[in-house]
Amino acid sequence: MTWLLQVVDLHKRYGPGCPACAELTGPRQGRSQCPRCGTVHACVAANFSLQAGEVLGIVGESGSGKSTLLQMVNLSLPADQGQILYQPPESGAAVDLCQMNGYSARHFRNDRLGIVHQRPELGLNMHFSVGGNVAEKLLLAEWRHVGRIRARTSELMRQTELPPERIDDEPHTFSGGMLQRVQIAKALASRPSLLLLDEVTSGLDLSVQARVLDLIRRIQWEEQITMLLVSHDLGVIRQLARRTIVMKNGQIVESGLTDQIMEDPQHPYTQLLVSSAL
Amino acid sequence: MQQTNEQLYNFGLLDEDAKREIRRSLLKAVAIPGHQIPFASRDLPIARGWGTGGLQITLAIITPEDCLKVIDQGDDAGVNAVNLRRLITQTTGVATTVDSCAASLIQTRHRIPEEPLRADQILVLQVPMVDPLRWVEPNLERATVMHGEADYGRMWVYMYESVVRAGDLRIASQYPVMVNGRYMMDTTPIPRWDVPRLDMAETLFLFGAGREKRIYAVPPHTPVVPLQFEDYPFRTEYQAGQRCVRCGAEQTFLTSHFVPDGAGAGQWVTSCSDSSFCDKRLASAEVQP
Repeated sequence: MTWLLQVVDLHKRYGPGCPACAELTGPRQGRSQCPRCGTVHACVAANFSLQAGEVLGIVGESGSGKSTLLQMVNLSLPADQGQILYQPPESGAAVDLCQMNGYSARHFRNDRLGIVHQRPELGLNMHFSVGGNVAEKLLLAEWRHVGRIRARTSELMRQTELPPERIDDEPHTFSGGMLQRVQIAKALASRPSLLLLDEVTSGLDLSVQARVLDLIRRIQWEEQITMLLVSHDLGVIRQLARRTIVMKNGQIVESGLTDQIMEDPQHPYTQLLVSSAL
Repeated sequence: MQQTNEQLYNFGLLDEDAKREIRRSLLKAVAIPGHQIPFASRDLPIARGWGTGGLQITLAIITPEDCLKVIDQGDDAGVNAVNLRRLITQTTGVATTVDSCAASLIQTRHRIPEEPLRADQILVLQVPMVDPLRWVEPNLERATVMHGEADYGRMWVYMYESVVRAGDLRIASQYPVMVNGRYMMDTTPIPRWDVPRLDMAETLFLFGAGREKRIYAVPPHTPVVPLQFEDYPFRTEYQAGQRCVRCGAEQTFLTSHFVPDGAGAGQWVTSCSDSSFCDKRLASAEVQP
């Protein structure tokens, strides 16, 4: 199996840093903020690879750096150090996404990535209709026929279990679960090679959570789409991800097959997570 | 020695440093078609919003050999045109004309003259609103990043929503265009009628916004394409059957006005917006009244 994405020694910090940072921060010290200089080490030496068609879960508590990592992969947050290598499925030559300028990164994000945010207002424009929001990705991909755009948008809405007759309704008339499905429809519109999911079920009640998770699982099964899934909920990760990374205080403390991590956690923090989830 | 009022001013009113700075911005604007270049808009003896951007460009590039034409809504006798022309001629002493073909420099608000312009002419447009993204992104900083990354998806959604809600591209003015396939530009100073005339034109178009302190340009032979859909193409305001009440022209931009008959009633009539073009047609033999 070929890898689609490889993250190599990725770092992100907020602050100047000091020689004592490495000693005073990390999972062992239980903090990501240096008490001496105040620098927050949001992501330290992250390494992982993502196979084509795979779902990789990133789990950790709030402030562990998982969303920072996802934002760097989404190219919406520049990394301080390291590489994010992307190997297009159609050719073998890998490109380092961290070296892209703003213009190239924007085009890469439009063509290759789809993202579903935790809060719908981050991913959707509340002033446009639901159809307009989904159509944005198609318009960015040079679709210039309103009839065909609407047909494809309706198809995506059906696929994500949204009523196509509400294509022209505004997002604020939709429920939280429906808005997450609108985001998924938008993310899928350009047939991305990598779908990023950031806490997609947070804030939803249990029955809606289950429907959204079922939908993501079905789409992954049908489209064989590669997904990077971030959640603080081990239950969500367990349902969707084949492999899992556990993060704490900006560092990856454990990684492996999800079943293996659930059944035989090695790191004390992972053991705590698993025991609290059971 | 007694000095006249005109001698108290530098040629073209602005000081030479100000002119040089504007010219540098103009060179940048010509080098990157459609890209908004900031400039230090000077205070002038006319209020912001009355054409200070266009006026500063004109004063920065005008030479004693130039022949100037100033129009307002296509009209040489408009209040704005008359006052700007008077200011420019009093501080430069250049010749003026109402004939579009005889002018080497044309300053205009809202119109491009009907007669085709040549490569040796420059058209300076006064711009009220600079950024087409203002409709979808009011934050200037974010809009600047959007231009830099050619992130025009939201503007396209705005066009899509216009079709969905109104059944057609109902954008009466400020029609957005793509310049040279890279930058999105607002055509706020001109009606839709004139938008296609920017495309691959012979003339250099310079746009100045004094209030917003921005300059942009469309150099000669530059592709300018209005945003449109395959099934909803861009259309001008042309209406079949309408003609100028004075010269009978049909293929020109027409404005309508109410003519009272003295008995409390009256009628709406249309006439050429470009008064100089209309007068020329009236004087020529081709007019059929």
